[in-house]
Amino acid sequence: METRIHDAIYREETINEFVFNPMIEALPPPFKPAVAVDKLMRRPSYSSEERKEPSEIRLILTQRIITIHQPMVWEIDVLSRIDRCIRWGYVGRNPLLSSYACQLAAGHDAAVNGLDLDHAGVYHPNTYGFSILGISGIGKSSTIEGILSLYPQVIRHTEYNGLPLNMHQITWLKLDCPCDGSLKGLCLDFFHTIDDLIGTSYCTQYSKNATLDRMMIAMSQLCTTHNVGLLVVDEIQHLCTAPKGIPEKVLNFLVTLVNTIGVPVVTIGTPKAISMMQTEFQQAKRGSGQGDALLSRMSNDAHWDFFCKVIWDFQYTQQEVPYTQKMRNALYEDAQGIPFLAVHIYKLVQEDAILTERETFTVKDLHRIASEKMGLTKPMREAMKAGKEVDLRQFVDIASFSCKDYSDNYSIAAEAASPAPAPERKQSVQEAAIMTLLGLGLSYTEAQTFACMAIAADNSGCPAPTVVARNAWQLYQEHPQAPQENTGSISGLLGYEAIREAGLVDNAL
Amino acid sequence: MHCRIAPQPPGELPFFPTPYPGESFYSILCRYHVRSGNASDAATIKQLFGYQSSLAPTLVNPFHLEMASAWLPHSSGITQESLLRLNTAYHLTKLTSYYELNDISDPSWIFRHNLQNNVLHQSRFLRYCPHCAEEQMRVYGEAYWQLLPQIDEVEYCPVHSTRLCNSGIPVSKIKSSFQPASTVLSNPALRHAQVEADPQVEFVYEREKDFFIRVARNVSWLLEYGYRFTCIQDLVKAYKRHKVAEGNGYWLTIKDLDRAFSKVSGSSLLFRYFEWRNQYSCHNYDEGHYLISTINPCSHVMIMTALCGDAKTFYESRPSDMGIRIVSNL
Repeated sequence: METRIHDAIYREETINEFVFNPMIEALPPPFKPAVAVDKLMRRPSYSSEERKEPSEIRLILTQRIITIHQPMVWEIDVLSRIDRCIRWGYVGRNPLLSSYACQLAAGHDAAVNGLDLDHAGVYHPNTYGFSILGISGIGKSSTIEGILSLYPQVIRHTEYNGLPLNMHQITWLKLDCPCDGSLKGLCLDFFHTIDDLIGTSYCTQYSKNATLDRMMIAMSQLCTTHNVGLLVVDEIQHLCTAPKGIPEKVLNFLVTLVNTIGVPVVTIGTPKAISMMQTEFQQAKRGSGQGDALLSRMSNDAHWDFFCKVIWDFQYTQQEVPYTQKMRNALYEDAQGIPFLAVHIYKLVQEDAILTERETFTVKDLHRIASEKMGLTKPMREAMKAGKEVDLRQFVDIASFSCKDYSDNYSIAAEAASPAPAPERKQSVQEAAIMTLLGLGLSYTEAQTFACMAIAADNSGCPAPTVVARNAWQLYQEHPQAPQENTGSISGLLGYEAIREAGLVDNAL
Repeated sequence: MHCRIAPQPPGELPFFPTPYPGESFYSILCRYHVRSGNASDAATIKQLFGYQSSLAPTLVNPFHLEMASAWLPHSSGITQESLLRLNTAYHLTKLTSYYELNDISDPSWIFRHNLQNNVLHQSRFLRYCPHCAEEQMRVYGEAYWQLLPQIDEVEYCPVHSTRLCNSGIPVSKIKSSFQPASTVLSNPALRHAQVEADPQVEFVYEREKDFFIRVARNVSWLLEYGYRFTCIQDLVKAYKRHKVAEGNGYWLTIKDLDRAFSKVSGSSLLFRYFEWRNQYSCHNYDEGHYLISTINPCSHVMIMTALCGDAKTFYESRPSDMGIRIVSNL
């Protein structure tokens, strides 16, 4: 996203808590829902005359389809929450109030005296932020970026009501959680982002020889100095793969930013992060009133119908294909309520129609294209359809977006949605050896007895069935007379319990 | 005269603290450092000046003010001129200078005028008024170093009439480090200098409390309105008017000073203090003009206070205002 520094233009505020707060008065006014929809919506240009263009031109034009964005209800809800977070977050951080300077002095003292971050702030937060969780491809990051672009990212203040006020206001700052979940990486990303926005050199200063504690205090200090309105941390699920102890440290740091510095924090991630965040963020989110946004794929309802109608308008086949209920259902069946997939399927079916010169398509074509051109996602989509658990980690490359974490996360989400079926019972080593010995002519009793003896005598701990069968056969050859059948004699064998628990013997013995 | 050229001229700063009333320029830079989040003092100094420059001259003198045009946009409301007038002791210092500062962007002027440290308090510690510091905490959320307590001969707060304190930070320590008042004054170990005051000098300050409170008020007035006066020329004219008014001759003499101080204090205590503070000048003077040009501006304020009570009357009164007939045409 292009960054441009905007000069502050102050509006008159009507809400008591917002009056005489230059940080809030410089923000754009709150968006009415209709205005928000209009601003978030992205519709490329289209003319039905373009259907008459040569096929090679129309094959290029189909790319417009994937730029379509139709705001959903949940996006307006998220916009409203973000707006509240930013505005109320500034209430306690008015640079004209004495608490602002007090906060900065406390942060500096903490840095100079080597204290921890808890000593670096004196604010009582007015808002805590919230989390946005949803499967990959549902549109979390792109929606957030669209919402954030409605606010000027950097506002430069020079004078407020005749009083010199020289500072920058960074309305929002979006960071990506490092792949290794490292807190140092997060801090450096923060410094780097600030440097890019306002031309400072914090990254250079702190990339060498600075301790993590010092970096954390500096980050909190800069959040106050540069009046950061909202901190957005994306890909928070990366913390799940971090070494033990790291996720707690990162989340605790974010909680401290909220509680001590007063900066609202919005975390974005996949359902993989749910359990991790519930424990750490519970205290912070208590009483926030914002709740969390848990996003799931769309249902086949009026919203899906509306969405399909929107993209249906962008047709480049020479023959017009009418929008029908069957088409809608077929698209839902293939995309499973994920707008990203639906848009791609719709684009691909048109390209196929143009390439093959049929210049039209049917429901069957939708299914065919979804199967042929997006075959890698077929098992995943069918799993979604059936609600079955599928190991989706093998589906790494799907279409034009990375699906590895998508499939990882969906498997976890599917687990939460429906319990996993009981695992298929595997044949034990003993059973396999018995089968082999039966084939060699031993009676069942003899095969059972000598198989147990061979397992008991094995030192490896996990003998293969063929090894057991061979050893049992040797024992039989040496002592053809099987020991007296006595269920108690088996349990008297040394290590029988361990063998039983290891699944090497049948529990029925 | 060699002038150090900044290897990397500073650019526009991402923020700049709004100066508080009567704040020293050094204090503004300290608050910048507090807010900067910079890892070290050196990093902030380089960010401000482009090279590792000394900070000590910024305590009372307009050192590095030419950087303000690079630091701040034109619409900021903070200019070199406003910083010069409100946050440095330049207009007090120039009272005895032969030159007016015409071009603040020329850093060599400070060497030509020899203005370094000549109004800095003799104690050479960062100083403050405890009551003012409490008020600052209440109103602004942080304490700051006021300009007035750093000036020589200012021993009392003109607002609260309380004795000013030496902090535990010597001026020598601020050459390459930022010592923000918010940090120093919140640390009990740094709130007071670990140096015992001279009891004889303390006796003078206590005995002549009213006089020194008036001196503080006059210094404060000159810091605010000294821009009206043109260097030593106006000082000499004012002395001439006063001498004419008194009808005692043309030049200011040691005897004049003795008479004026004794009239105020009722004893020779103040005059002996004045002599002790200006030993070189008093023992080597060569009638009036030499005396006027060799004693420092703060000592002149003492004289103004003794002669007229306040600096405004000293500078702005005319003989006719005082009801005295001019007896000779000078």
